[in-house]
Amino acid sequence: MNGNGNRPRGITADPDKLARIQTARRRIAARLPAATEALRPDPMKLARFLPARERLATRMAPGSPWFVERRVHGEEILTVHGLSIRFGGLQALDQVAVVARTGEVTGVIGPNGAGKTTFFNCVSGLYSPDSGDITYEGRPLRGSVVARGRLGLGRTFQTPRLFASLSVLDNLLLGCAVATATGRGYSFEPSLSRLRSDERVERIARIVGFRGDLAMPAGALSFGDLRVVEFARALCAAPRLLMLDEPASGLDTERAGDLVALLRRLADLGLAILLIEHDMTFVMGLCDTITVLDFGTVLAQGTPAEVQTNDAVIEAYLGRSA
Amino acid sequence: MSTVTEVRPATLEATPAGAATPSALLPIPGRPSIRALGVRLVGLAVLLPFLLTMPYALKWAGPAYALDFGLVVAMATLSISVLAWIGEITLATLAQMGMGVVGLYFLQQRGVPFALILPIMVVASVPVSLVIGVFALRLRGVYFAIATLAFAYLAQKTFFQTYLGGQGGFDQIIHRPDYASDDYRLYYLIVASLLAIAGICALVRRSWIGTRITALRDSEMAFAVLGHSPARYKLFTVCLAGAIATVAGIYYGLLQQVVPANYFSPILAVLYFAYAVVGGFGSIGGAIAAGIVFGTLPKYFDSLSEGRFVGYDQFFAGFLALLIILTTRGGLQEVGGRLRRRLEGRR
Repeated sequence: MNGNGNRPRGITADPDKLARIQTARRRIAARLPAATEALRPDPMKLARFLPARERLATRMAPGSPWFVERRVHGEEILTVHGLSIRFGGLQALDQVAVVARTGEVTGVIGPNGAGKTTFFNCVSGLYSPDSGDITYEGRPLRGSVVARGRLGLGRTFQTPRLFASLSVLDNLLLGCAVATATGRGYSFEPSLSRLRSDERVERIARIVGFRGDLAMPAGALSFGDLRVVEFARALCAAPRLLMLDEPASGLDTERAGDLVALLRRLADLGLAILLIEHDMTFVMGLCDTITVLDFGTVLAQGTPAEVQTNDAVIEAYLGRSA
Repeated sequence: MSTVTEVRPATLEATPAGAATPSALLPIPGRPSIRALGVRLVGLAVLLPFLLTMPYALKWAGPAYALDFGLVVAMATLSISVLAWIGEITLATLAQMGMGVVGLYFLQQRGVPFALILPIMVVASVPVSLVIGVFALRLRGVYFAIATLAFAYLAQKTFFQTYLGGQGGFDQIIHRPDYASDDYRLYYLIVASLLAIAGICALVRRSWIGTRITALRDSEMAFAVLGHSPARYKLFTVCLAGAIATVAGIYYGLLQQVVPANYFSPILAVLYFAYAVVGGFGSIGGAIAAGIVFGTLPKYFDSLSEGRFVGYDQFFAGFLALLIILTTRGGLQEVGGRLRRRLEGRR
């Protein structure tokens, strides 16, 4: 009723009419879920209303009907042969040979001090080996650390090395800047190249499972998030070969499981992954080939099943009782 | 053996339409509150007239020379603070100032107008900075600091004593341009230059170059492994710091007009370094504030005490530095930041 005592338009006092209206409402409410499901717009159709770049990225994204990609799996991207380095009286690496292939996860395992990180440092150019050949994408790998980074050798560290004073966003943008500067595409998800850097960062942060605030200073992150963001930063730089130094250490079981699944998918999408890890469940469940180092020498090489049954490995690394 | 396979991979993301969804993680750029804007405007409204009238307003305390000297010290301190962006300590600032004085005198003798001398000397400072930059590429921390000190001693014993002389300075005095003929006019010239330099530094700090410099300081190894060149950004920072020190030297030459070599004693650089630390190592505003406080106040005290304070200026500087460091860990920059946050109602 309004102030003049008149009934507002559309409202009826007839009880029969009211009952009919309520019945109709109940029927509609009962059918609504199915109706809304049928009416739910297809994201691909919705994409036409987005700006052209995003539309293209959406249409080309993996999983879309338009996305068909040919990838070369099993191509040797990194071949290390006869790699040796000595620090004073310590032979840190002695005639080490490792091959990493696209679409495969190659594990490097060994006890503490076996020379795993030294091997990574030699490949990424932080150390100059005394002898040995490193071939990357069919060419001898030479040059500074910077030059190797720009060639597509992504890397994370045993202790995460994020730029602590910068935000997570800036950390990841610095990775994207390398990809943009070198014009290298994202082999594991080509649609990323068509996005703006900040959109790319957001997508990669989501891919690796970072759920925090991108504006947060990297120095304020938990250890697990530090690992995840460092991994995301390496991915932002559009690597061809990803070298991960103990990526699962500091992660809880659930996150480590997610990481295994993600690394497997990245490898399936054509990325070559080389990783050092102590968690045997992680390594055996993920790697296609494993190289076992002990005192700087290659103790064994092969598939996880071969390595697990290798007597020398059992004796020197896993222990006789294993 | 390589095999070519055609794959239609599963998406990497949990939500296939992830690209189409609006940004959930990207930070929304924050706008300053009305109060914060007001505080900044009021601050500017107070600071600007204060800067413009300072030499006259403080005439009772001493000559405008004191302020001019403070501004030159602020410029030199800023140069040290800029190098702190890459986490390095330089003790060659006074040597680079000396280069500015020698260059100013040399170019003036050849009739080059002052307006041209400034850009010429900024460009000329680059090769000298690159020499120091070579140290920065190979050395770090205290080793770099000692290398810059050695450079300063070499410059003092060879270059400055040859061109500046031991006591009397040049054969002729350095002339001031007409628009800076007295200490009051010179004040405005130096203030304008200092504000321009501070503005450039702030722009660099906020730009993508500044982001990379910060990243380089945080982890040089990660920066290089990612594919960014540490050498490029280190050399840029060393050159920027060197150019600022050279400009400070030019204004010092204009202010003093006669500058003997012992004015650039390398050990004085330690004092300037202390000013930069007290200001807030790496801070632009803090370095300027510290330079003005430590450069100007002793001169005013000299004037007010009719010369009785002369022997105590470094004692005063040391005492004040100790007081500030003990009370605020971040130096003057922290004091300013805390005050601003309180006025803006942020804490």
